[in-house]
Amino acid sequence: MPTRPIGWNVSEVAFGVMYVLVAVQALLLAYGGTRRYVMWRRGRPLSGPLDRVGERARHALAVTFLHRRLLRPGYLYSGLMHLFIFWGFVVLFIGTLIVLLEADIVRPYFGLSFYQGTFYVVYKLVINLFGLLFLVGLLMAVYRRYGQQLPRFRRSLSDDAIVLGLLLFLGLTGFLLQALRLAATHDSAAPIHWVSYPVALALGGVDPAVLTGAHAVTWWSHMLANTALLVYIPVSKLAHIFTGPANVFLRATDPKAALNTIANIEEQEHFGVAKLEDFSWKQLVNFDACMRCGRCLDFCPTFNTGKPLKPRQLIVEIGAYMNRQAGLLAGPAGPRIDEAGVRGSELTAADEPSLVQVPVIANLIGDVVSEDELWDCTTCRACMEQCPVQIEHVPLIVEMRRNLVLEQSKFPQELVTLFNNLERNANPYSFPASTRAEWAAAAGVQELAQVADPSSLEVIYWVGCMSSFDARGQRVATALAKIFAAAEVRFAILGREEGCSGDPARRAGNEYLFQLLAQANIERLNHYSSEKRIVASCPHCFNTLKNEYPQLGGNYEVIHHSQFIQELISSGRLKVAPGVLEGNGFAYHDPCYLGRYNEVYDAPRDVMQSVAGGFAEMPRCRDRGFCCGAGGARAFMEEKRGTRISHNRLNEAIDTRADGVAVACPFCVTMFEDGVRALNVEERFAVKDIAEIVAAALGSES
Amino acid sequence: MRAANSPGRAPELVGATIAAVLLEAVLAALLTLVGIGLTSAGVFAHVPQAVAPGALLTLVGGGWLGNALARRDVRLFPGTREGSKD
Repeated sequence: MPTRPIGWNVSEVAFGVMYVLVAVQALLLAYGGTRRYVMWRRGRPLSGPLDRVGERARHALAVTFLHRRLLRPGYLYSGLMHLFIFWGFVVLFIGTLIVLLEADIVRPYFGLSFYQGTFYVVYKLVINLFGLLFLVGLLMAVYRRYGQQLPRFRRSLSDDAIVLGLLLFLGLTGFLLQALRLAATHDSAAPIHWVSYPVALALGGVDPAVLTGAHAVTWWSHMLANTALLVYIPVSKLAHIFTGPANVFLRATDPKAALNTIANIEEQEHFGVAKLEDFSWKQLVNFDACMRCGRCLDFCPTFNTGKPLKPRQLIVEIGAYMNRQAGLLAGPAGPRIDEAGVRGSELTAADEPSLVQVPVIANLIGDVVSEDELWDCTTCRACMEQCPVQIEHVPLIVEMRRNLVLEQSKFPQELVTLFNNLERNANPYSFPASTRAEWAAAAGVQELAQVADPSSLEVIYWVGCMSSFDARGQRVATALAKIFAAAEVRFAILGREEGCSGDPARRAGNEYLFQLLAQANIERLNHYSSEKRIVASCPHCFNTLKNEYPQLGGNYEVIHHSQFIQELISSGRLKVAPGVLEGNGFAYHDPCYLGRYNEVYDAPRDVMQSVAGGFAEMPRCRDRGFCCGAGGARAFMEEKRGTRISHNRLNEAIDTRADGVAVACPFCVTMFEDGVRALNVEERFAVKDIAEIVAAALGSES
Repeated sequence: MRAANSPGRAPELVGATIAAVLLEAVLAALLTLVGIGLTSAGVFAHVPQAVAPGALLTLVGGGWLGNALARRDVRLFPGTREGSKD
């Protein structure tokens, strides 16, 4: 009956030492884990208990064991690589526990043995399979870092070398131990060890004494490497084995588009985050969860245009700062000041400059994270969408912005103008609020206050500031009004009663101003009817009204104009001729606050299909779309660092050979209009909102 | 134990002394030593029934010791402190 002697060629002394090493491993693992836990507990308590625990657990298990967020389109290689390493590690670990169960419990206590016969054969076949997958995954990782030499891994290569080296050594010595025993004992069941069997055959001619000696040396080195690995886990990126699933479990379950609100803001004395303790303990876990994969960089507008903010670096550096406070080293640390003596905040290279070497006494904002990094973020959510362990970068950045704005009064000069205009005029510009509906009068659009019976209205059209005041935006609003008229939609606008939704104020960190603006709007909307459907043509307004106003008591059914137009077409209320693609047609650009934030991807595409007969899809699309550069109040700030985000995106649209780019956001229109002028392609490349394309199709039909 | 003026937070950690950590650490270390003793007896005196409880005690004792040291701010490395550079 096939089996093997457990502990073959392992001396009593070796076994004794092994159990002492268990104590060392347990001590250091517990020490590192507890130090991290103590650091997290320094964070603010949550306002209430964790919600939806069952759902959280199910999601975390699916993400961990099925690799739901690692195995995604575009990430097949790295997803499979991690899957092989993960399941190889798990199965080999379970295999070791099975041997311990047989040797230390079943045999001594019950005088029985299960480690033989069919079980043993299956066990060995499975262990060899997963051991091989483990090695394949590790070799894929080695190739990815040292063969492909991706810039994203440039600064973590030494840490990766230790991690991959230890794991590879463990995998290889595991198989070598097996092969040496098979060769030395002439085991008749050798073929079932199908991975190490060929090696055992190759060692067949070697003196058994040499094989036995080599086995002993290999056993010791395997055991010591195992200890080193366990000790290294809490002080390296390997901590993500535990912190990654924990972070997924702790993720926000609120609407993903909503930033958290500051309750009773008038009574607060401290705002946002200036030091680690200002984060909630749940937010602090984010900084320990990073697995350094760099996926957050792939579609990040700031990283891809050479700006200081690189989401992974932000997380890694704050994590390193936190772990240094905990007395833990967080991997090999390079200098914050790079080789050329340029400070991190001034770096504009496309790849990451370094990990962190923070000074002995350091401030979170300034020394660890620069203000430039915080203000560069467009809040496009590309980092969060791609992160396999669901780190929530954007809310962390906004928390630090809140402190800069509300407590330190330190923010870019352009925001002074923005905040002043929002306070005085309830719009980001210097136009008086009384002129907000001037475009509507010209277009024959009614204001709600002028409607005798508001209950007869079907929808309220939320115009937004850009479409109310900006001449280019007004063309979009007029086009939408034309569509409403063609479909006989009974609608009106708030007009002079509408104020900025508050999105730019909130994303810029001015929560106080956001709440003022939001409460004024909610009061007016509730006055007319909170049950009315609201159609918004600006994704930023759409997102704020839909997902953030409920925090302040404004609960409405809000849809985006692309969804409403699709609804009108599919219900037959809006008659458009079957679309015929003219010329090369349009490329479609996903606005971040419509797509990634609210997962509205298909409605605008369906509209384009119906009206224009098709569209060109850009390589970076849907949840992997690339920002236009306007979000996070960036539309109101100068883009001083790196290259222009809008140009990067426009070039991608131009490369599709389309005749123009179709968008569904007035801010994207403005960014791209500026871009086509700067790139000198305005004669041959158009920028249109889908409402304009639909309205033009109506015009041609009539 | 929580600091009275900081609900929901871990106690403020200050530089620990050997005396402050001594009792719990000694107990944890003793447990670990008992575990090691049991496993050693199992291995060297050929009492296989002693190995499993010995290994368990070693694991728990080692973990407890690590946990106790970490909770009392015994540092492996000098850490960074937040604060003004001025």
